[in-house]
Amino acid sequence: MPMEMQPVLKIQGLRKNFYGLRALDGVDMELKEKELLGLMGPNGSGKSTLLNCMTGVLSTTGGRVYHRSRDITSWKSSSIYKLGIARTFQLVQLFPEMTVLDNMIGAIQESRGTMFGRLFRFSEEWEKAKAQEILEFLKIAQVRDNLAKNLSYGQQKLVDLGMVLMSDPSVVLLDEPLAGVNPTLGREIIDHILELVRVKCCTVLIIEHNAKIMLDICDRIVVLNEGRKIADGLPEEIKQNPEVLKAYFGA
Amino acid sequence: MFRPFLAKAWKFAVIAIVLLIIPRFLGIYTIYIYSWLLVYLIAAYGLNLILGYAGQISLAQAAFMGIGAYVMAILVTRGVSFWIALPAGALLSFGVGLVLGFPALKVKHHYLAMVTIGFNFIMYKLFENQEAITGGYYGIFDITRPGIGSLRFDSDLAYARVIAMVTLFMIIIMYWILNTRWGRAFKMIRENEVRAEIVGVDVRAYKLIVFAIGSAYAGVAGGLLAPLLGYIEPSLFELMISFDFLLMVLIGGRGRFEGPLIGIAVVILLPEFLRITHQANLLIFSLIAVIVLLLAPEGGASLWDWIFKRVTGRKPPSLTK
Repeated sequence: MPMEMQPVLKIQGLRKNFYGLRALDGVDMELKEKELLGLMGPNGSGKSTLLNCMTGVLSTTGGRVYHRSRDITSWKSSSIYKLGIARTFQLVQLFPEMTVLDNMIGAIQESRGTMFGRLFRFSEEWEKAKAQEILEFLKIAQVRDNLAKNLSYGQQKLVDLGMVLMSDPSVVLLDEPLAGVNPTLGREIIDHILELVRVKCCTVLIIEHNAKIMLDICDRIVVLNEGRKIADGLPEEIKQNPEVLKAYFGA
Repeated sequence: MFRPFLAKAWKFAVIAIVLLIIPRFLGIYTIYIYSWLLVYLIAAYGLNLILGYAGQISLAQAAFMGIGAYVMAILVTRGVSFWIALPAGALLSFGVGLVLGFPALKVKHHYLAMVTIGFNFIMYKLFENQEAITGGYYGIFDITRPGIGSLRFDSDLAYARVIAMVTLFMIIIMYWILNTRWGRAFKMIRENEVRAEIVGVDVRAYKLIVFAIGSAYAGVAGGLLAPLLGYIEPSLFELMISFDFLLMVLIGGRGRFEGPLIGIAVVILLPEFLRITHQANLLIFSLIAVIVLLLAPEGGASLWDWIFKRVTGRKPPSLTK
C-alpha cells in the first residue's frame, strides 16, 4: 500500500494583511519530509512574509500553520524554534557586538532546560566544542573570537548558516541564502544546503531568485505571485507553466 | 558546576577586606561620601544591567530607590528589623519593576524612556502626597541603623562597613548573573531582539526579569540609604536623580562590568573634588562629562581599555561573557 508521507509543515489558507495591502491571500503549502522545496516569486510576492508568518515573526490575519499534526499558528518564535525549526533572514541577522563564538553558542543556549536552570550553568565546554567543529566545517574557524560586526558579508552569511547548524534542526527555512555573496561562496553554500538535505536528512525550504539554481537543486518548487500560489510542482513542470512565465516575463 | 566561580572567591575576599579597611582611614565627611558612593553604585549596577546589557531603558531608578528607602523607613520606625526590611524593599522593587517591564514589551527607546519618566514622576508624587504613610513633604525621621543581637552598627564607620559588605554581595550576584546564560540572553536581546527570539530566547520573560532585577538593585540601594541619612524625603528620589544614574552608566560604559565604578567616580566623586572651585564646579563638571563622552562615546571603560593596551600591549580581560 503506498503511504503518503505526512507533511512536516502544512500551511492552510494563510492570509496576511498589512493595513490595506494583501501580502498573502490564502496560501496553501506543504513541506514534505526530507525534501528540498524551493519558494520562488517576483519581488513583493509574499515569500518572506510567508516565512515570517510561519515562524511567528509576524502575526497572521487568517489561516493555519501545522507542524506535523500540531497547530502552531501564532506561536512565539522561540517556541517554534524549540520544535526544531530553524531559519535565516534575507538580510543577515547576527548579534553584531558579540563574538562569533557567542553568536554560535547563543543559537543553542536556550534549547534545553528551564530559564531558572540556566542561572546555574557555567560550563559550556560541549557547546564550545560543537561551535568549533561547525566553524571548521564552514572554514571560518579563524574568525571565532572576532566580533560579528567586523566580519565580511560572506563570512556573516556563513555564521548565519552555522547558527542554524548548531541547533541540529529537522526543518530549515532559508530566506535568500545566496543573495549578495560571490559565486564561489554561493556554490559552497549550495553544497552545505544539499548536505543538510541528503546527509543530515533535514527538510529544507529555500527562497531564491536565481531560477537556474533553483530548477537545478530543488525537489519541488512553489511559485507565489501577488500573495497567491500560482504553481506547485516538479522543476520541469514549473519551467513550462504558462502562469509562471507570465508572472516573471509578463509574456 | 560552581568551580569557575569559586576559583575567584579569594579575589572577592581581598576586595572585601579592602572595602572594610578603607573607611578606617576616612574622616567623618569622607566616610559619609564613601557610604553614599557605594549605595549609588548598587543602583548604577542595576541600571547597567537594564540599559547596558539588555539594551532597555529605565529612567525610574530613583523611584525604585525610593520604594526601597520608604519600605525600610516605614518598617524600621515600626520596630521591624533592618535585615527583614532590606529584602522586603528589594522584593517590592522587584515586583514593581516586573510590572514596569510590561510596557517594555510594547514600546522601545524614547517611548520607553517616557513611560519610565512618567513612572518616576508618579512615585515621587505618591511619596509626597501619601502623608499618612510616607510623611509627605517632610518625609520620615529617626530611621535607626541596624545591629545583630547586641552588636550595633550605629557609628558611621560600622554602618559604612555594613554598606560595603552589602554592596560587594550585590556586585557578586550581578557578576554571577552576567556570567551565566542569562547574561548572554540579555545581550542577545540588546543586539537583535527578533533574532534572539528566533533562536529560542523567550524575549518577553527575559525583559521582565531584567527590569525586575535592575529595579531590585535600586531597592536595595534605597534600603541602605535610609538608615545612612537617618531620614528620607521625596526630593531624594526625584527624576533628576534617575538622570544621574543614566549619566553614570553612559560615562562608565554601557554593558561593561567595570562601567558603574567609573561612572560613580565621575558623577559623584568628581563634583566633590570640584567643590574647591566654588561656583564654577557645575560648569567644570559638565565640561568634563562632555569631554569624556566625546573622547570615548563608549564610556570611560573604553578609555581604560585604551590605556591598558598602551601600557601592556594586550587587550584587557573581559569580566563577563
